[in-house]
Amino acid sequence: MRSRFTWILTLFFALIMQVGFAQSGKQVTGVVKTEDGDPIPGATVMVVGTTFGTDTDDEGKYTLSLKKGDKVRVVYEGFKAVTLTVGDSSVLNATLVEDESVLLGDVVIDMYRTVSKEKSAVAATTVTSKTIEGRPNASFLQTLQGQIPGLNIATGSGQPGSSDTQVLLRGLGSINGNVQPLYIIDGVPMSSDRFRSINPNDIENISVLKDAGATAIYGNRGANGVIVVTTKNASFDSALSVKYVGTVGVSSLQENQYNLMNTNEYDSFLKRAKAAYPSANPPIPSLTAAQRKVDTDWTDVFMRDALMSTHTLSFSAGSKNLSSYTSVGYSDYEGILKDTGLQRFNFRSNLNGKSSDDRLVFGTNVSANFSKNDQATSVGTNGINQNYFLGAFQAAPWVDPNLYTNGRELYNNYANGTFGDWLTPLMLMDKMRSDQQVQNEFKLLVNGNISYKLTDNLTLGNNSGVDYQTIHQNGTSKYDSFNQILFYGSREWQGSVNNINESRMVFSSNTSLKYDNTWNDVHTLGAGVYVEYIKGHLTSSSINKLGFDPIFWSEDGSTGWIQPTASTALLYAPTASMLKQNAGMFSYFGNANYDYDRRYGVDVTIRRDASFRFTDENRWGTFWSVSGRWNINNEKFMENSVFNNLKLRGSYGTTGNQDILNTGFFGAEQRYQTLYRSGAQYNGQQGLYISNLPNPNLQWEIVKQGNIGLDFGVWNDRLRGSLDVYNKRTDDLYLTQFVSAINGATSIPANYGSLENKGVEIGIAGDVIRKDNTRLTLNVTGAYNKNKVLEIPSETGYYWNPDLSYGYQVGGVVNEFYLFEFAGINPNTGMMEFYTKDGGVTEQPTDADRRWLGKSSVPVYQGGFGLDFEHNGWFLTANFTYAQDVWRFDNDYWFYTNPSVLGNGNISNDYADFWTPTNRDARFPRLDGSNYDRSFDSDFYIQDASYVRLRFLSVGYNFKKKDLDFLKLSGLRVYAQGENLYTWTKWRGWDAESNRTFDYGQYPTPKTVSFGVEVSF
Amino acid sequence: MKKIILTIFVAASFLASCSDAYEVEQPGFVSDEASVFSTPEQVSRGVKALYNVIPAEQEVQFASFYTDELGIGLGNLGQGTNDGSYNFSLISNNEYANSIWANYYNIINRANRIENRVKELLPTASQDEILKYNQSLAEIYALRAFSNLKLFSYFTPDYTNPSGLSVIKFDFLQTDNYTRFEKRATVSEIVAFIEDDIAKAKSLAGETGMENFASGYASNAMLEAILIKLYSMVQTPAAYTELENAFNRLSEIKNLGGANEFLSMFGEGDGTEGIFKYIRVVTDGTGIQSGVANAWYPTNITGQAYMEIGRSLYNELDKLDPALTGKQLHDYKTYSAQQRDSLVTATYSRLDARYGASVFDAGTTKRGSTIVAQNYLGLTPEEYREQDVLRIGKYQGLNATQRPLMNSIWVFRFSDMLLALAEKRAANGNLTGTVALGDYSNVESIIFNLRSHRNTDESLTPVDMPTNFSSPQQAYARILEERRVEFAFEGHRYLDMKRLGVKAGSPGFVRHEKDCLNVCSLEPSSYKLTMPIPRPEMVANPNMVQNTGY
Repeated sequence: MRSRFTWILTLFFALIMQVGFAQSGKQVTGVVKTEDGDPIPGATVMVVGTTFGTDTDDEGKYTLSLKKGDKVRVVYEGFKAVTLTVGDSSVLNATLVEDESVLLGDVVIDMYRTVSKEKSAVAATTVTSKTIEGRPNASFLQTLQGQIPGLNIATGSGQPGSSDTQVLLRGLGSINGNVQPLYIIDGVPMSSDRFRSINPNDIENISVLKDAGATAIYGNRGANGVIVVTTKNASFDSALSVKYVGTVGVSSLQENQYNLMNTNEYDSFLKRAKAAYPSANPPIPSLTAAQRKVDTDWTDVFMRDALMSTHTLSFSAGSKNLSSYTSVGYSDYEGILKDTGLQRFNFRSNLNGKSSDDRLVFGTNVSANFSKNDQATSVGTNGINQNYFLGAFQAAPWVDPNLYTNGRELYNNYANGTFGDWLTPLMLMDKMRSDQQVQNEFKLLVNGNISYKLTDNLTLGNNSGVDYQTIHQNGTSKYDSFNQILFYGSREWQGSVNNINESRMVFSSNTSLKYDNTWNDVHTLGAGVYVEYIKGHLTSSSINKLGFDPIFWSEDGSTGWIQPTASTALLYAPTASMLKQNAGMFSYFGNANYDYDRRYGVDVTIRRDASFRFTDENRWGTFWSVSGRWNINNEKFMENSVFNNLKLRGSYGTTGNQDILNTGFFGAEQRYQTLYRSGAQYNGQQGLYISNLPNPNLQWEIVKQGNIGLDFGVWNDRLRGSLDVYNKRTDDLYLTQFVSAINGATSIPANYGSLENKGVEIGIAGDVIRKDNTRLTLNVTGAYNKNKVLEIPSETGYYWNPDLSYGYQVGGVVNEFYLFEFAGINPNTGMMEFYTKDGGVTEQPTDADRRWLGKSSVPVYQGGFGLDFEHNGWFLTANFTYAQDVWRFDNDYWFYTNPSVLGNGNISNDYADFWTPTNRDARFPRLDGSNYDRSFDSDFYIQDASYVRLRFLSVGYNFKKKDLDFLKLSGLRVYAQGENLYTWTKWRGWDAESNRTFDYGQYPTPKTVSFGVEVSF
Repeated sequence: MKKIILTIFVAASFLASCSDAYEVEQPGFVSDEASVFSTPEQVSRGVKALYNVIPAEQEVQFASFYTDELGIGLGNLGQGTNDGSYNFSLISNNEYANSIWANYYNIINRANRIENRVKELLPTASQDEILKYNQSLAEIYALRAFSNLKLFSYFTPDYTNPSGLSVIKFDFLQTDNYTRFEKRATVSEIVAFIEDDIAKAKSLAGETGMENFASGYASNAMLEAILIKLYSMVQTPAAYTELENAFNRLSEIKNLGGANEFLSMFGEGDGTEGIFKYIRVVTDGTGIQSGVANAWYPTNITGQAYMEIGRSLYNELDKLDPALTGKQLHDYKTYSAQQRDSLVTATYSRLDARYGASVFDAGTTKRGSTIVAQNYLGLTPEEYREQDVLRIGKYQGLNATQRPLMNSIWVFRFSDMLLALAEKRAANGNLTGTVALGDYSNVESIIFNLRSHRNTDESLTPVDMPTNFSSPQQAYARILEERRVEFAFEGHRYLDMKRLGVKAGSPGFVRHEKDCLNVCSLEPSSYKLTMPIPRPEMVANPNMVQNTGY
């Protein structure tokens, strides 16, 4: 790890950090090395008490004029500094020990520039491979949770490889537009946020850029922050190193608090309900004697303890002018829902080279990834014959899974009505047996960079890359499945296959001219001008085919194709569609930074962007930022203070969001024009019609952000951290603007309204124990984000999409629930009552009675805390995450406490408290029809989804080098770890963390216990 | 070396500065109206696309849920109950109201645009083209009148108050001025607007123009039907006079057909009674679950139904043939308890065709067919649910393997117009008198004529006749009853009750006690017989006024 840092920093220090020379005395030379004997180029060797010093060269050598008794301090980022005293010898070597106590990364890396932490004036957090490696998450995003102040990560699906992870940086910055950060991998902006193909073990570090000072340089897509991922590299002049990282583990379903019934409880519930409501319609059912004998745990039928394993083998080596890092990885993640999972194969090769005079530097990264994803379909839908989770979670305990034999018999029983309405789990058992959907993804990331020093101060560079991705999705439903017979049973041939092929290619190229210089030892200026070009092409086609000959059926379903004839064309001819989309952006921008004596710095960025999504008038946007810093600890008056680091930062600037409809890089094109289409057939005649109403005024969503931050380290970084306060305002929000129906549509996308996110973020770590063999670090991250709707240009002062349960009112929070307020069960009638706008109660509230509840599904407080403990090679890491003041609608619970479910599915024991003439203070209304449909528009099912979760726990042992000699290993580390081990929450469902406002029949994220090993040769 | 590298960089920057990155042409995008509509054929294709927007399925489904047409089916999983529709819970975000409002205004918006485009094209058109353009214009005005009729009927609280609020008078070109907010026009303004469009359509169609279309399209008969339905709502003496005039013109081209012809209309037939229907073909919709019957059946009409015929409606259908009232459909010989496929040993076919048109009969198999419990009143709720299975049979599917739930939907039939004439007769006090075939001079005779044409023995005599025509109220009640069975599941019941319920002294929509869930009836004076102005319109349009009660 250290060696790979070297390369990055060599470039940096060689270019920028030209410290002073010259002093009388003898010539002392030395080599600065790592513990492993690798030379450290670019380390700074300073004479203590002066500003004199030098940097080591490529071989780690330095030469200084020194006197005996002089003290030199050798500093290199990522290592503990050492101070040496000059003796009689003219040779003074230094060995630096890696500093693992650093909480926050030491460099801020973004696509365009790499700045030392000290000289960075922006709000950014870096996480290194140490945090990411070996974690049993299929996506590295899940690993970031709780690590970065202000970064809220909510994973909405336990499907391995799902991209259903919402990443919010500093709150919801948009309503309809994209809210996710921009992702950049090795300088290539990603065309989508699908990371199922990226191997987390290849990641060297991740920088999360937060304030405008950091993100304005990304202009058009920087509005929601930027996440920059850098993959691993080898260093020059290094011996071959081989490393293996392996993890095996098992995942299982998390607990729930729905208090669901077993058969006995269900039976007595029905008896009691029947007695209370003998004439209910539909009638309250009763269990048969046979049903009373069954007690099925349906989660066991559909869910499993899922195995996962991941293996990464990497090779790194470097010669004088060339270094290479190659890794191959294989992973297999089973999903906790049976028949789901992700298999992944990764190959990565990073090659770096330089000329002997260091003027020319180049690098290439090639990453080829293939993944196969077995997916559950119809998740979150209400299809009782389609959504497996309705079988796993909602099925009644008194249904016997052994009643299922095959699809045909199940269908007969359904059609005969010999089974009642509770066939759901059996239909889903059949679907699990006969349906599959597999998505194969190939993702190729290729990028090359080259830079050439025209003069000592001027460097020309280019970084170009391609993100190429193909997706092949194949879904099949077997010819003899229940669903096939249900839908197509009257045809001669059954079996269906749907097939989607998509390819997307995004080319990006960035050319830069950078200038660096230092005058009089104290003035350092860096500047760059850039041109950026991005162009993408997407093509997609799909085919749907019904009718296959069972003799030739194969599981992936492309064989046995029944050829349609003239008379069967309507039944067996496949339907197909095609799609083509282009997208592009163009930008030019400049950046300059100035440092005075490592004490003061300013950084200025200006950027012009053009997006393909807007008209000529609105196409270009200008974004800018100014940031400054004061490194207080480098001031004279701080010389003897306890602070080894104290830096005050400030920034202000703008960024833009051009992803209007949250469609990613592609889509939402030409919304500014009236568009026509062929189609809309009536009586088989091909019509012509308008397919898009124009909004020529569509423009950039503008984010203005101010940030003040403080970075500190005291007692030689024993206590360290950062604090940021920000105010982020989004103007020209994209909202669905409701228009009068006379326009031929009821809504169009439009820019109007403003919102703001204000917050505080803190990240602190402290070494409670810091000894050679023992170290205990406590850390905490926290973020408070208060969002507020500032402006809604309507007479009412609020905006509400009538199809949603939430809206936006001036002064209120974003996504604020706008519902009826439940007033209680009327003790005399058993009906639900709701408050009216005048404070009275009613059984039939109208829209006027809706209230702003001040609650939202976006958390106000979130973050993490944890500890790192090491002792004689043993280590323990614990990491808790939390989110507070977050509310969601529990749609699952609605069905667990609903009379239409009686006799169909399982219900909660809570529901036993229903109203009867003798139970008048009941929690739930009467069972025989009521106005309970209104509860769906009320806060009755709004649930506090705050949680504290033991997100990660790891225990392991790091073998000492000397103990490994006999094995000829250079490193060995073994550990056991757990993810999502326990959650404290009021949320009843399987997963408090979901990113949705409504949750129904979803794939919950699992808890995982795993074991890992890292071996270095 | 240095030069080579420099050259590469300069070339790279040059390449990267192309404006093609932001001036992105999307393949196949057409934004110019003139290049889409420039020939009579293209204009005609634009007009044909408008038919596709008519929310015919939603109207039928809405009227079934929000009236007393339905009962809870054996396969019900919360349909009708979870959303409150079965309890007549009608709120301002009702999906049917939203759909009806948005779709009919969509049709008018597009119609006005094409009208405007045709007017641009006419000055340079040839004589032959002018004829074709005029036909398209006639069709546009017919569809605009039709859309306004629908909007008027659902959203106007009081048809009979000329200065009362109705809907938006949308007679202008509206493209992208989204800040134009219209007020609701008055009843008399909308009536005049519809009359005007009908007049324009008639004059543009010329002598033969509108006659050339089949019943799936605008036609002269459809224009008369629009007028008749409009005047039946307005209910003034002048309107009734116009109603009769329109009826007389219609009678020249359409008339009652026989019972078997009537039955064939719910398949593919047009009969002599068909005026306008919404044509559906097997390639419409997005799959096997598409179609009008998907609100009541999951996959096909022999499967377990979400909803079935309500007992109160069934009893009305059952009454039509008094000799068999209360009888089951078939006697089955059952093989065994497990096997419900059974042999029919006796059949009790009703003579009045409207029973057979509405009640699904799968014939030889008990499974998937209607099962009538004769002693249904004495059954427990469970038994009633399982042993009294009344299946909706009006839409038996275009094609069992392709679109089992999809059907063409009748919008205007001659009997609808004839009963509108009966409403005029009732208003004028012409309740009884000469009762004879071809005599439409009084209410009783009109019903006699209708029933005569519904007798499946084709004898042109009624199977049975109601007797009480003693007062206008009684006559209205008879008309309302007749409409209930004649137009069951055709989307009429809701508006019929709104128009006639109070006059007929009707208790409104009444579920049979066996079907009653919680709220069992809705009185005819309820505000819920006028649809709410949809929420999106209320949110968008500051000049819009909501109907009372929502």
